[in-house]
Amino acid sequence: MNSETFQHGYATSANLGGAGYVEIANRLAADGDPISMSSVRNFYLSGLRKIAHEVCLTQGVDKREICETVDKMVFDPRFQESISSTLNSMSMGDL
Amino acid sequence: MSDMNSLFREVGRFPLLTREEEVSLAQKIENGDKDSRDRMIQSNMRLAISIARKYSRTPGVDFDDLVQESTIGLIRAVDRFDWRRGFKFSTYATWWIKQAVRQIMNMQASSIRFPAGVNALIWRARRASIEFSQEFGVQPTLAEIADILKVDVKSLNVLMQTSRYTMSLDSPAMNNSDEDSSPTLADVIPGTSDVEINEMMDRERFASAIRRGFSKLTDREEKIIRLRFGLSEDPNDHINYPITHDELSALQAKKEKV
Repeated sequence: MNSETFQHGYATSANLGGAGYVEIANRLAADGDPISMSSVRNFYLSGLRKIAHEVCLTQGVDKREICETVDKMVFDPRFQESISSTLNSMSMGDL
Repeated sequence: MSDMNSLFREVGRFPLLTREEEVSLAQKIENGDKDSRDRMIQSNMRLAISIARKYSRTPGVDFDDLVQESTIGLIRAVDRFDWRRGFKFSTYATWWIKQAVRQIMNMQASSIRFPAGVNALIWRARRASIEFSQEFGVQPTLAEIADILKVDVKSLNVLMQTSRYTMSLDSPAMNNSDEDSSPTLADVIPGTSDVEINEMMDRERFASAIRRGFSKLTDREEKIIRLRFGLSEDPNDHINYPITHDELSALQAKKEKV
């Protein structure tokens, strides 16, 4: 995977099971909520940051290191895949 | 029940532990301190009894047995508790206690009395199987037995599965060995419950963190994340996935400018 793509949050994991940024932007625009692809990415990453922050707290990450750890986590496709898999389990009532 | 009453009184004497006390006791238990182990068990007996009480409403299940099994579950939890993982002891112990209680309930369920007619059918099926194999030299299939007895294959299958006898895990693993020194089935069957429970708790902990994270998302962030992960059933559903008032005002202002 291209490291630059990875670091800017454009890494697309094939296993996320949902829509890409462009598709989401198009869907929201079609719903009367025009939004650019990069804004979709920004909202997505800011949401993931909040989730990653909670995960860090749960894992006992040192508070001084949380911000740095969260930034690393949200760009990591493995973290995104694990969130996706857990959310799917939750939506199926397994968790 | 008077024994139970005295147990309840006894249990009430031990105060609940703080998290720090739990960790301290767990550390001592690791170093083989028997008194700490006893204190950990005694201080959590209320939890074991309260779980047993929840299951005691099931008809045909003896409350004394449930308390006994839940206590065994509690002891297992005390012996296996790993304070480094950061779980509260009661969270960890609840899994073990429930597992122990469910096991005894399943065992009692397997000794359900069948109606006389069903028992007779099971007996006839076993008899037919023996006679068939004696006559033809091969074991009959379930369909063949059902055909001989003129009964439905599915029903017969269910009855045969249900009526299988159970073996105690405490029974010797080898028939010819000395009963006292022989390893039991429990000794030789590999257990996976430790791993399962830890994995389950890690998953549950991760899921709880995600739930908490989700509760902090703005509606727009949630909508985008749901779409990204394929969780939104209907992207046009603005009732379940609305944008916030601020976002709506910004959009309206933008629209007015255009």
